[in-house]
Amino acid sequence: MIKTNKFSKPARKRRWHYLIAAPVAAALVILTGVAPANAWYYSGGMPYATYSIKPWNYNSTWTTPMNNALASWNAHGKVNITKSSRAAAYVTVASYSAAWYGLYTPGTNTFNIKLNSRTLAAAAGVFANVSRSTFAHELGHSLSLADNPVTDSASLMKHNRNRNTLYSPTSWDNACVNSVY
Amino acid sequence: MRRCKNTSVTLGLGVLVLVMSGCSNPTVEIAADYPGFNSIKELTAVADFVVEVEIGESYFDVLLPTYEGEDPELNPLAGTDQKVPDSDSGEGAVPITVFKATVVASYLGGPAVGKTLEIQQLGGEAEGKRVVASDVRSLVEGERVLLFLDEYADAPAAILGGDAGLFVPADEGSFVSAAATEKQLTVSVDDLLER
Repeated sequence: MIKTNKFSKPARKRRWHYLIAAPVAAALVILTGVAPANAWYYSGGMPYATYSIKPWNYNSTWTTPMNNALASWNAHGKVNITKSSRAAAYVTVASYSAAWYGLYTPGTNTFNIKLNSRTLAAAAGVFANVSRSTFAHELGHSLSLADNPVTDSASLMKHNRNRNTLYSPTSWDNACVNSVY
Repeated sequence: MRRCKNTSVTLGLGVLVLVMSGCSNPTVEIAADYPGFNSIKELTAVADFVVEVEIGESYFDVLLPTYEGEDPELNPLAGTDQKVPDSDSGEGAVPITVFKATVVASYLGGPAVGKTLEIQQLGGEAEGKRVVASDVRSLVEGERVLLFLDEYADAPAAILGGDAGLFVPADEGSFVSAAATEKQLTVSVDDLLER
């Protein structure tokens, strides 16, 4: 009887196959632009769920829901988003003549988020809830969650969610973050 | 010798991946949170006007942020000692693509047939990089589409919901939603004329 272990030749040969297959797969992703098969995955997220963002200096009408959105993500065991003046990531709240509520722009290990006061001030519902829901949604992108995930489960990332009642990550959102980080 | 060959193959492929990464065109994929619309009724309730247009040429531009008034919801700087950022600095600019479009049919108070209007879509160019909006269907020059639009005094009209208000011709006299990820809806010309 021939005993083998992970360092035996056949096993080592398989490890070489893996080493070759991994860069090939990576090359295919780059060439084809094909992201992981998960319909909820967004490639512009941060590499880690622990990162810093510049503090915001807006009036309390805005800072309260923004702080609450941040706290709702930090309640996730793997997420720790802190404020630091040295952080590269930042948020801009302003009025834009556009139809969107919020906008996420990824960078290299950073991002910026824009919240549109024009559309959010005009949105139906309680302002604090709607703005909190939007900021929490944008922070969801920083945690690699895509828009409009294909699922029957409730999600902060769906555009047709009720922003007046859904303004914190759901168990489904949390599970997705768990599988990335 | 064989081990050496395997090592070379692996290293070679690794270098190839790195080279391809560096050579690929810089594209930034941005993501926006839009209101969702579950019916034509919801779209028409919010739209400033609805038009069928033929899409023409496009150009890149940017939207600049504004901070006006004392309403604390509309102006996040109201009630603070924060200074309004200099608009000339370009800080907070959002890249857009502006399409010229010719009105083919007009509903709900839209411009007259034959008029030209400008329509913005998120994404364009910024700092030498191509900026594209994820999961939003882009307009294409030469196509005919039905649009539910939001109108602005200081900027081109915007399609409601990113592409939720974008419809393409389907069966005779009807249009079907062209949205990439939003709920698929259908609307007929008769429906629009009745509203």
